Amino acid sequence: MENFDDNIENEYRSRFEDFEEMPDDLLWNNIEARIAPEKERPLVIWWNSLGRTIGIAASLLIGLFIGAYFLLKTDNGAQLSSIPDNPKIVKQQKLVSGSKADENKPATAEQSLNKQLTLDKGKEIANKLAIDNKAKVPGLLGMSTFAQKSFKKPLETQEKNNEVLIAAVSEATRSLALNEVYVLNGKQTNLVSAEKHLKAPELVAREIAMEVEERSRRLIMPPTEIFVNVTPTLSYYMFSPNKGDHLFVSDFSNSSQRLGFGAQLGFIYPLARKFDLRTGLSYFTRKSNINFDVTDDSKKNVVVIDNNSIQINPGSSAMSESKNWQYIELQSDVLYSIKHMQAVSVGFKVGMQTSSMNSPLVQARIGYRLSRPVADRWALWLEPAVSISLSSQNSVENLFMYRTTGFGLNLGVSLLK
Amino acid sequence: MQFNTDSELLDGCLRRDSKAQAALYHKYKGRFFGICRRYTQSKEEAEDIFQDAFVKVFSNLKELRSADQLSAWIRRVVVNVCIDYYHKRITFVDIAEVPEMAPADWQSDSVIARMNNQELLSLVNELPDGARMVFNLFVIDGYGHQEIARMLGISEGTSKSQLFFAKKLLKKKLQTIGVTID
Repeated sequence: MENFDDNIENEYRSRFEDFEEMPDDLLWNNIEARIAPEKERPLVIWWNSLGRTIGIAASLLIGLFIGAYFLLKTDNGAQLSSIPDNPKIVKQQKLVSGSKADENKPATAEQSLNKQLTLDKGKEIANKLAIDNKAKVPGLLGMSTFAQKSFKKPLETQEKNNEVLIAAVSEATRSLALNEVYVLNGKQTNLVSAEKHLKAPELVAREIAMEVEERSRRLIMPPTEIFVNVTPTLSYYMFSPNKGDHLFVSDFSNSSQRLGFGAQLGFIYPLARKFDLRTGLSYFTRKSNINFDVTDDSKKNVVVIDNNSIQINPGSSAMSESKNWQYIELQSDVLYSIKHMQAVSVGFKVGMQTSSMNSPLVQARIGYRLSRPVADRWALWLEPAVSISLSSQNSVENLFMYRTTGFGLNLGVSLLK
Repeated sequence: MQFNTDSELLDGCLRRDSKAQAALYHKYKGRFFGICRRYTQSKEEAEDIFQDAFVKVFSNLKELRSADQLSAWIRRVVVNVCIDYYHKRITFVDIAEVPEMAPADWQSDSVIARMNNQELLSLVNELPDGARMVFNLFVIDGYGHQEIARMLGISEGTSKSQLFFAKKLLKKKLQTIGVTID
């Protein structure tokens, strides 16, 4: 027997050690097609999944809310000063500028001095406005005419003249300010008509100038924080085999190639006392390698063991699927400040692939951010986070679907306001 | 561009040069399809495995450190793909089911020598999956039982018994086709 064993081994070894057999020529075409690099295509968004649609709609909605919030905030500021008939304001203004009620009260030396300074300044501004408005702002022509008339009118008392002058200056300056708001805001603002100028709030010119400046500052809402971060992420998958009449997919394994990396740039805006809105754009890349078995009932292998017995094997085969994931992701979440430099983040990410191989990825995420100041306006932070996929991905051959759960550690640096 | 050496082939393939990929394939296709044929039951299965193996080769070439090892590395990839293909479905037939045969001496050199490769190959192809794997790995590819046990996820004892079983079946098949082993 030993002799037989040795000889059969030698015979087979010598014959098959360098055994060659030519494959079918068509095989190369198949291999070539499979190894051809993926063609980069423009961003493609498929709208065929309810989950994805909801995700995208939610991001748009949040964007609209944010836009509306800032827009309304700005409008309120502009309208507050553009309502001339507001009795409260008029009353307050009268108290400030010295109305008839003030005549009964003896003015102190300080009040008189302030009034005189205001009047001097007011005259200068009124003259300047009268010239400028004639040349530049035709809409304010009536105003300047009124101011001129007011100046030409014989003065009954010095006090009354002063009042009128202040009112004219205030009205003209305010109209100019509103005009600026109109230009910046792009909206029709209720400009004060010339007939109603006396009812307008008569703010001191300096205060008005400051208000104009403040208002234009409010139009561009600066973020409280600009950040960049990198995120190593471990991805795990939950599989759902697609059912077929003859096919059974099982024994999923994805133990290799779990690690992916993302890089993000974003901003943080204040929402409320303890709430901030964080939004950022990131690039994420990873690979996946999923092994699985496919059992095909329609194919069976029959092995003849000897003359009396055969072995029937189900037509099963081990398969694997590898993918390159490259996403541009939009992340939006709300930060709730637990205590100083620590916050919980809850939000979502919508990832759009840079090729059409993979479908868009919608993920919900939660994290805990720990920050540490490192310089005057700089802070380092890290944030462990978990993201759960709300949308599912299909395998290349549509044999199964899977969802991703990611465990990431965000490492970031922020420039603080 | 001509690819005369494995180094040039490797460089070209790493650049994803389609001509280099085609040249590499055509240079080694016969040798490695031969390996696939040994490990599989049919030509169709061999073709499937062969395609998967070459896709894997081209996808993972960057892991190869030296062009000197190109052929050996591809061989290892092909063998591994063959093993993976059958790994989940391998059934190790209980050797107690095979009737014990009397010891025999090798006296049929001339008869075996007259058999062509395809005839001998078909005998191996007909072996059960487990026995065929172990026979190929041990007898032809030169792996030890310890290594085979690790590769197939079985014990060393199972590897040895499967080899014994494979040779027994081969002997029986040879007798069936008229080769006399005394």
